[in-house]
Amino acid sequence: MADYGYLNARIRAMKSRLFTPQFLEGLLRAADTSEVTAALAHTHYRVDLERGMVRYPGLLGIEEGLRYHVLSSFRKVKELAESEPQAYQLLKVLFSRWDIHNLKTILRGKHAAASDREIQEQLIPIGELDEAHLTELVRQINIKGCLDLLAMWGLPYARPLTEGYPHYLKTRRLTELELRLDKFYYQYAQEQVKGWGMNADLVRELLRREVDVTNLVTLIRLMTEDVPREKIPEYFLPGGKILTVEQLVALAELEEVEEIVEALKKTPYAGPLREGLKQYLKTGSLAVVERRMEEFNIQQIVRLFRADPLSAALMVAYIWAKFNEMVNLRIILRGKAVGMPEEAIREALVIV
Amino acid sequence: MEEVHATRTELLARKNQMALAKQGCELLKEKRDALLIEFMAIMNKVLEASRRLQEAARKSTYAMAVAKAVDGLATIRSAAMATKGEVTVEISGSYIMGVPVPEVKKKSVRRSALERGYSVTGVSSRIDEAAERYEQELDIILDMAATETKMRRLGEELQRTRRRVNALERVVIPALAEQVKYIQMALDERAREDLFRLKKVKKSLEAKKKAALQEG
Repeated sequence: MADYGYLNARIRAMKSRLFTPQFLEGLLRAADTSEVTAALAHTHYRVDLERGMVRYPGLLGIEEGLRYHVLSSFRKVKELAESEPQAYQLLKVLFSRWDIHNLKTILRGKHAAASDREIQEQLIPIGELDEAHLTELVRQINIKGCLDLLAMWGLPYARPLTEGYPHYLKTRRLTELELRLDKFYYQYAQEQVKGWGMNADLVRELLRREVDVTNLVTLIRLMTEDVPREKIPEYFLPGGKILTVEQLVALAELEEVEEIVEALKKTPYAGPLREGLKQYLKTGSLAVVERRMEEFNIQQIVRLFRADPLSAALMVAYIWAKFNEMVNLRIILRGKAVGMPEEAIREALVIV
Repeated sequence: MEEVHATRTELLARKNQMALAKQGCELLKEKRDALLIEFMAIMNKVLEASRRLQEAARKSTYAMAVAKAVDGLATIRSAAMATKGEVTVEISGSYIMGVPVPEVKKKSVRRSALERGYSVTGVSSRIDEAAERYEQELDIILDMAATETKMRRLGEELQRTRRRVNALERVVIPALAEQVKYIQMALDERAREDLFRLKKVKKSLEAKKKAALQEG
């Protein structure tokens, strides 16, 4: 039986440093970005913000500082979890989503013939692929080289990418490769945490709900595009918690988005979807629907803070809450920088 | 004033030149008015496109700010690398009132979310929206580029024509009128001198004739 006692005690201490809604409200009332930065400089973000601002000037530097801070927080959680093999494995599964981001970025960089430095700057080395692995991948001259290297290292990502490569060669578009990688990630991650008991079930449920949320957002996006009917199933990720690919395809046949909400009324997704669509009708922006769905997902995960205190729930909830905190800060900073009204900034925030 | 020979031939030549200058001036005035009508029509189009461009730029900046805020710069730059594309424009020429102007035919740069090169499952609709807004902006810029060049060319031609009209109206025609007047005056003066001389000669001949009669 895994012992999360020590790890959770440390996580609780880290959780106590998360910003309160009142603090964020104070930042929202700030006149401009410099006032926000000044307020952040009095918090535990100070050291990382200084590091970021040494690297880039202005807002870019502050954002870089926020990124450093989140990465160092995640690394800290990883270090703490090292003493507990199960917790460490669960973290590896969760953090491997950044492997997917990194792999896509490298493939995109090679596709666009971007410089190695340009690619390297967009990477977030927190997953299984560490900086040394990523640097080696970036050094490859083309996509084929990257795939060969992944296969040589025996990494599981090589399989979906190798299968999708002929399609890339034919179309010179990365869509198929990326789609295969996304599908693979959710399947692989779920398989990795199968049969490990309650803590793994918790992570699996999180992944499955995320699949549902992603699929529903994709469904709404596909409704605004002219997609041939037979192509629709290809865009859905398998392994959802409530919605199967078949059900999603059936939903895609419906004429109106309201009908989708009606069909989903017995699921927890109906509420945020309805709310998002209400805002969509006002703004004409699909991004608000996606944000409401993300908000729902984040809130579901952060709710784990109140779950079993001796399980992995606290660690998982902390990771999402910390990442959400960084996104909230970025929203406030960017919003202030472009003169977004306070209400619009508040709408984009996810307060947990 | 340039050196003018006060001769009847010169007077005729100057009068012809003046008639030609007046005719040219009238023609240029007609051209100027026609150019002005064309210019104003294109200017309205440019102003409308400029207003649309400002609106599109405002929306794209806003969409990009939202995407940068929620998804982060690294994710946006990563997605941007997947969406490399090209802008195809076909440039030909045509004439408006004899002024060569470019005609730009372009294929719209707007793409659907499924054509941008990344998978919709891995890139948020915020990034898609920012991309869409910038594609709209680029479309307006390309439209505007052709119309604005037309406007600039017509404006230059309008200015040139106005300068020519002014030169003819205020310099060439008054100068020719002055020369005609001068030659006319010189010729009249010469005619008066001739008449006076003839009268003098006649008077002297008559005096001689009278003296001869008296002697005889």
